[in-house]
Amino acid sequence: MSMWTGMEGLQADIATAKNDILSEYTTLRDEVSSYGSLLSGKCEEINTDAKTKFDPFTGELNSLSGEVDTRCNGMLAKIDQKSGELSAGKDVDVGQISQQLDPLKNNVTGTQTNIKSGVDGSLDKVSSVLDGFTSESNEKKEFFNNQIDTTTSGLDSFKETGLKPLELLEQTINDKITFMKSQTSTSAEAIKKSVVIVMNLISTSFDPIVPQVDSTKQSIVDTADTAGKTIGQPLEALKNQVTSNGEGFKNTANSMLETIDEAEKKIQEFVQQASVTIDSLVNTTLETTSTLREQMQTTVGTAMSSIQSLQETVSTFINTNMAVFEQLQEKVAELQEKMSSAVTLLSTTLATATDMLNKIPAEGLPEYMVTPTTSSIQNVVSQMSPQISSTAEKAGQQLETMGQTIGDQTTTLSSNILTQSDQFKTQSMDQLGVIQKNIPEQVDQVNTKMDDLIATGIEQSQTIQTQTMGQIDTIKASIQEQVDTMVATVQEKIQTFKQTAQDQIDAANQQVEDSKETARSSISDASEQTKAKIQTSQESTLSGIVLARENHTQLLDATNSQIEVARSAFATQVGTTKDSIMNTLQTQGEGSSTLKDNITTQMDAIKQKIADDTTIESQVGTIKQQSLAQLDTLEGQTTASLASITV
Amino acid sequence: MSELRSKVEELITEIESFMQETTGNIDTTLNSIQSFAPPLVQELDSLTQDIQSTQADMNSQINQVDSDLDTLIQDTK
Repeated sequence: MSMWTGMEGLQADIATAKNDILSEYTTLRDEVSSYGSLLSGKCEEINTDAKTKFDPFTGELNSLSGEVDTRCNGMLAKIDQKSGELSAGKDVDVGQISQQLDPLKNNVTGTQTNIKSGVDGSLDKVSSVLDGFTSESNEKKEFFNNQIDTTTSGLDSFKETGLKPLELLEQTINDKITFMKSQTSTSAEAIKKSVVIVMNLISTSFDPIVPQVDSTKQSIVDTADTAGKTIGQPLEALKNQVTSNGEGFKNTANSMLETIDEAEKKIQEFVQQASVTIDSLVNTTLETTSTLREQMQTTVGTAMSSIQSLQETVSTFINTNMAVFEQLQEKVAELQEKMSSAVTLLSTTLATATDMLNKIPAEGLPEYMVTPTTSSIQNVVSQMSPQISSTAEKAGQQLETMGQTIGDQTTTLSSNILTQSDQFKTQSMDQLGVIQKNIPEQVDQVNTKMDDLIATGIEQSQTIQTQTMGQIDTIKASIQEQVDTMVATVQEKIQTFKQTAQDQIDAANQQVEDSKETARSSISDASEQTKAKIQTSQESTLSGIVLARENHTQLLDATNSQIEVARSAFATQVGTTKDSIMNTLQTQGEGSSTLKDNITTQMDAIKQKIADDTTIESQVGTIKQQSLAQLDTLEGQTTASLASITV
Repeated sequence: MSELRSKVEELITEIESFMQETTGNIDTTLNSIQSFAPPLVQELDSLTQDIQSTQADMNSQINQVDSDLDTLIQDTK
């Protein structure tokens, strides 16, 4: 809300007062103007009352006049008819007829004129009375209209001049407001000049500081860029060199790994070859011993079959000669047990031989070293197989012969059992003894040869192993030397290069720290100086701002105070001026009220006079009565005269 | 042979360690070069902001007085 609201409120108060006055004036003027309508209305009422009152009399008189004319014309017609009737006869004296009838006509016409003159006089009287009221009404109307015009003119004149005091006061207030505003504006403009000075002070104080800081910032960025070039680029080169040399060292080491891979591959090949050869030797030996074992099992099986046959023969013989062969049966059982032991021993021997061959260390031996062993084992096995086969075959034959013999002897004994039983017993026992003796011997022979065969194989495979390992050790020793030399050389280079690089890095770090310290020092100085400048500028600027603000506040307070004083004084003047004008207007209002009362009273008086008037009514009654009486008399006379006239 | 292989592989590890350590030290120094300006620049930027903030505050205050005076003058129109 503007500080001038109070003063502008005064203008509004004046406007309101003017409106109130104008409203009062308008109401009053409308009231006075309505008096014209009131007056016209009253005049209309008077005219209406007069016409209502007097027009019927005029009608009666006009009707009476018409009746006079009708009845008189009727009588004249009858006279003319009589004249016509009289004139229609022969030898009629027209002059005589006229002489007799013309007086009648003249009497009718004279009476008609006389009566109508009286009626017309009455009509004139009615008109005169009516005009009298109308004239009086019009005169009053003109009189009051003049008074209304005078009052209206006075009010209009008031409108023009009555508000002058308020308008003068309004002008005074407006002048005062204009003056005060001008004064305030001038003072404010003066303060604004000091504000502009402060603004310029802020600008001139602060604007140069930021570019100075920017300059320091640019200097630091430049220093960093320079450090990046003078220190960073050599370090980048050193880094590349480290990477390059390191990759070179790694290539050398990887190359050595490849050499080791190749040596391992070569050794692996040696071992693979020996392994294949010894595997072949062992497999061949195993196959051979397996064949031997099968042959031995066949041979023993045959022997066992023979013994079984002998046992059955002996059993038959025992069943027949239980007592005789009881001893023989026991012997055969013993033989069978021993044969089983022999076969078991033979099988065990072969299994042992196979196990021993399996134990030969064949892996990793070159083929050319294994071949003699293989040949030797194969030779032994080849020699041994027929012997084992022969031994088994022989044992089988012997057992078969023994069985046959026992069978034959059993047949013989069946017829002469008692005498031959001792002989059969002896012979059987002898044969079984031979079998018992031959089988273990043959098995022992096979066993011995198997031992020799295996011992030879083991010895030869160990030789192959020893030779192979010697070659591998030679290769390993060569690689060992190369690796040791390479590792020592590379480690020495790394240590040397590492120290060189670290020295370079340490020097670069020191340079960086120096640059940092320099930059930080310059920032610290620039920062302190800048802060000091800001402090100084801020203090001087703030004092200017505070002063401008105080000036503004003082101006504001002073203006408000002036406005309040002026407003208070003018408010009182507005009130009194308005009251004075309203009093004047109200006085005029009272005068107009009197005018209205006069109009009503005087116009109503005319109306009352019209209502009270009886002169016309009386006069018209009299003339009507007289006229009708004269007409009646005239008609009687005329009719009688006509009837009396003859020619 | 596996011992020889291990020895060579240890050497390779030693070489890689050397490369990693040395290039790491170089990178540290390079980072130090690259990183020493930003905090100082930031410090100066902060100072610049303080200056601009103070100036803005001063301008705001005097502009407020100016605006109040303009309002006062405008009310007299």
